[in-house]
This record gives sequence, C-alpha cells and structure tokens, in this order.
Amino acid sequence: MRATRCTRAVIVAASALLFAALLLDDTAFLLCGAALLAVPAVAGYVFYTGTRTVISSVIVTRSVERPVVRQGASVGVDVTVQCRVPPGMQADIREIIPPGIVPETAVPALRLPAAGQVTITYRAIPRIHGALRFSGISIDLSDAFFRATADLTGPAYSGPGIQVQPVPYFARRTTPAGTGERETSRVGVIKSYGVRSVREYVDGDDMKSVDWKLSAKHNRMIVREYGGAEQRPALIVIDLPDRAADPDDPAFVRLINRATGEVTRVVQMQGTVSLMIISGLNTIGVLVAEQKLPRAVSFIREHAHPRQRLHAAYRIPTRNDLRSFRITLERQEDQEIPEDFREYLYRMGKVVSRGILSYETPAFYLQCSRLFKKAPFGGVEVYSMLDGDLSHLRLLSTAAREVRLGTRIFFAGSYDEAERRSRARFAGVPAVEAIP
Amino acid sequence: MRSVPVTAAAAAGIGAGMLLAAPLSPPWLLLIILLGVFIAGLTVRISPESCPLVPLLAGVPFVLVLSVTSLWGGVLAQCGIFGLVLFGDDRSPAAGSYTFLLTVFCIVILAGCIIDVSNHMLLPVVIVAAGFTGLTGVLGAMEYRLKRACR
Repeated sequence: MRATRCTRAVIVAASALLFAALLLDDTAFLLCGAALLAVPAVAGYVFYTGTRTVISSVIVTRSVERPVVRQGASVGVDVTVQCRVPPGMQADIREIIPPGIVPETAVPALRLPAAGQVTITYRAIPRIHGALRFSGISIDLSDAFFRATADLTGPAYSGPGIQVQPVPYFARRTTPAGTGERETSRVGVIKSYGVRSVREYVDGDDMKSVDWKLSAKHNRMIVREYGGAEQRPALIVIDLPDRAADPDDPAFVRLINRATGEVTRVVQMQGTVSLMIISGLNTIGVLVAEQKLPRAVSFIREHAHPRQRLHAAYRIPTRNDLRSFRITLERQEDQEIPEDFREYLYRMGKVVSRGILSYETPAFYLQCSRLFKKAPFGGVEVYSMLDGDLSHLRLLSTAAREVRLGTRIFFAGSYDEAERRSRARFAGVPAVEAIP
Repeated sequence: MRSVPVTAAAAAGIGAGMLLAAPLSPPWLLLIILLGVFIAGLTVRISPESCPLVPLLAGVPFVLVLSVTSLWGGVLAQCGIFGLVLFGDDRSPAAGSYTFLLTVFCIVILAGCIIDVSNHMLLPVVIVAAGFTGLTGVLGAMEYRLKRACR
C-alpha cells in the first residue's frame, strides 16, 4: 500500500501541526494535526478492506490456443478476469508474462468495471522449450488516497501450462533435396549463416556477432544481424484410386488414416499444412497453408474417396525422358550391331525426335509446377495405392525436382521388393516406402 | 453534491462551532475571511482523481483560529469541514460512505476528549503519533498477509 502524493502532503501537514503544538504548547494545533491524521488513517483501512474485497472476488479464466506449441511459434492467449470493485476504487488488470515467453503484441492493461469482467487477448511467443505455465495476473488498485499492486500468482490464478517443443524436433526428415532448412530475412529463433544487415551495437547483443573490421573502420561497435532459418512443412499429396476401386479396401483405409495422421502431426508441430488431392492426372482439390486442423481433416474426409478419373494416362513420358531415350538409341547405333537392329534404332529415333518436336506439356505437370513455385514447401509426400499407371507421379516428382524439392512416396499394399523397385522407377523416385 | 442532508448537517456543524465560540468573543472578521478561504478551497482540485488536499488544508486555519477560542467549537467545526469535504464531493472515495465519515468524526471527538483532559502537550501528541504509527504497522502487516495468501 503506497500513499499518493496528496496523502503524503496531508501527513506532512499533520506532522507539522503536531510539531507546532509541541513547540507552541497550543491545543488548537494539536486538534488540527490529530484531525488531519485521522483522514489518511481511516482511508488506509478503507483501502485495505476494498483490496481484500477485490482480491477475494477475483476469478481468472485463461485459455490458450494450443496446449502444445513449437518453440518460437506464436500462440494466442485469452484471459478473462471477473471481480467486484468497491465504489471509489479503480482496478487495472495486467497479465504477468512468465519468463521464457515473450509477448508478440503489447499486453494491454485493462480497467475493471465496478462489477463485471474484462478479457485480455494477446499473442505470445515461447522462447525456451519445456513445460511453461502462465504465472497469473497483477492488479493495480488505487483510490484518491492510496494505491497498491497485488500479484495474484497462486494456483487459482495461474495456468494452464503449455508444452513447448524444442526447435530441433521440427527438423524435416532428410530428403534428396537436402535438409529442408531455408534462410529467411526474418529474425527467428534459429539463426542462419546469411547476414541480414549490420547495425550499431546495443546492450544485450552477442559479442560474437560484432564485426570487428567494420567497427574499427567506423570507430564504433557494429554488429552483424543474422537472418533466420525456417522449416517449411511438406506438401502432402493424396493420390486416390479410380472409382472402380473398393472404398472399404483395408489398404485404402490404412492409407487415408496414415495421411490424416500425418496432417494432424504437421499442423500440431509446424502450425500449417498444405494438402493436394489428386486422382491420377486429375487434380481434385488443393489446400495451401491451412492452420486449422478440423478444416484440413474435413477437407480429406470430403474428397478422399475413389474418384472417377476424367483424364487417364498411360506411360506419359516427360520431354527429358524422350531426350534420354534418344541419346540411348544414338549410343547403341555407335556399337557393333546387326543391320536389321540398326534399322530398328533409326526408325525409333525418328519417332522419338518427332515426339520431342511436337511435345505438349501435360496440364497436370503445369499445375504441379505452378503450385510448387508459388507456395514454398519443404518437400512433397505422396500417399498412393501405387496401382495402375504411375505417369502422374513421375510428372509430379519431376516438377518437384525442378524446384529442388524431394519427393517421398508412401503406399499401402503388398508389393514384393522387385515390384517396389519397379514402381519407384516408374514414379521417378529412388524408393517407395510401405505403410505398415 | 451527493447528499444534501449530510452537507446541510456539516454546514450546520460549522455554524454550531462558531456559535459555541461566540460567548468567548472570537475574532469574527478573521473567522469569516478564513471561512471564505475554506469555501474557495472547496472548489479546487489538483486533478480529478487526487485526494481532497486543498479543501482539507484550506479548512485548517479556520479550525485553528476557532479552537484557540473554544476547543469544542473547533472540534464541531472540524467535523463539519470533514463532512463537507469527504462526503459532499462525488469524486471523493468516501462519498456516500457513512462508516468512513463516522469513523473520522469519532477519531476527531476522541482527540478532542484527550486534549481536553490533558494538562500538557507531550502525552496527547505521543498518543496521536503512536496511534497513527501503530495503525500503519497493523495495516502493513495485514496487507502482507493478504498478498502472501495470493501467491
């Protein structure tokens, strides 16, 4: 409890009157001094009872957007405070930010109405991993004579806890494209090697980031500001079988369950998920950077069933495939071969050359290529039954490779090792992985 | 003004105090000037939410002059001044709080009694100072316990 400036002035005036009473031996001064002291004394007791009323009536309800949060990711917090404020008093509510959590936006201090509730909404970024718990609230109480600050950090006012997953948990699995980590100009938890800018040293900067040469040149401390590195979630592609397939096939159900599980994991761990549902060469639907898990799951439920394939494919080669085939033919022509086989190679070469000249890029390939270039993904994960023609997967993996994205294909079926290798070759990937 | 009857009673208290001192021939002109100063001080506030420092201190010279003539006249006038300052102003935290006002009245009357029965100054001053310090200490201890219960 702290006295306001006015109250302190009243106490000083009363003390001066009491001193004057002693000095002048006059009862009038004593009466005035004692009467003036009575005001802050009673006001102090009234303020204490008011404080007790406010504190005993406080009900704090706090909700966090997600219980499991990635380190460095933003999470929304809503704090509802309900209490009764006596007349003449004012109560300002502030949220106590626990160590390890940094508010993304300014946390407002709200004034409580006499009898009612206020809701504080803010976004916070956990900077350290592990179990973190919200500390509680702080109430600034004041009236005309006194003011006080009460930190309500007991179990009734604190919590809930959040589990902050460390950043290395989110490292993308290694794919042929690399580690999947990309530099970004934004400052993040993980620093990249790229220098974003240089600026003057401020308190708290890491001494390791001081650029000594620049500092010597300009005769003041200059630090390098490194950019951040970010992990981007992979695009999840679900390849649906033709309408003739049995929708209750256990393998298909397993495939969809696995894809849904992966979508859930990606949303929880990385915050967003991108989905593409295809059926052969036909694109059924695309969902990019979806943050809400229910929406992503309902998207799968809505579309993930055997579809009629309006456009079918049979061993559609890419232009590069044709070129490679032609080079192979030319190399064979240079070898010692029978004359009739040479004739065959010549004719085949002509056919392939005509094919290269009149090649029309499939629309599916263009769609994939545009999508991969437009939205930055960490890779492509395909969930497919791997039955029938796999030209569309070959086109998809080629489009992904052009933008340096790795492609992983998961299938639910019972193919032996030789069959797997054959299908991986047709799909244009090094290997396919079975869903147990 | 929140409550006309209380304000009127407070004004009546000031008048009664002056009447009580009337037989002892107080300096009327000075009293009326100081009453004017107090009334002018009633209208002054440093800030909308500040405590009524100016009206409280503006009433002190009036009570001082009145109680030099008559102690109980001064006590009555002081109660009246507190009634006007603490109860009459809507912005005051004690506005509408009879408990607050009655407690302050009781303390003023108690101080008047102590002064009336005392032969010298030291003991009443010590009692007032010790009472205030003790109350401050007790309030501090109670507040500490209250805050500790919230942790």
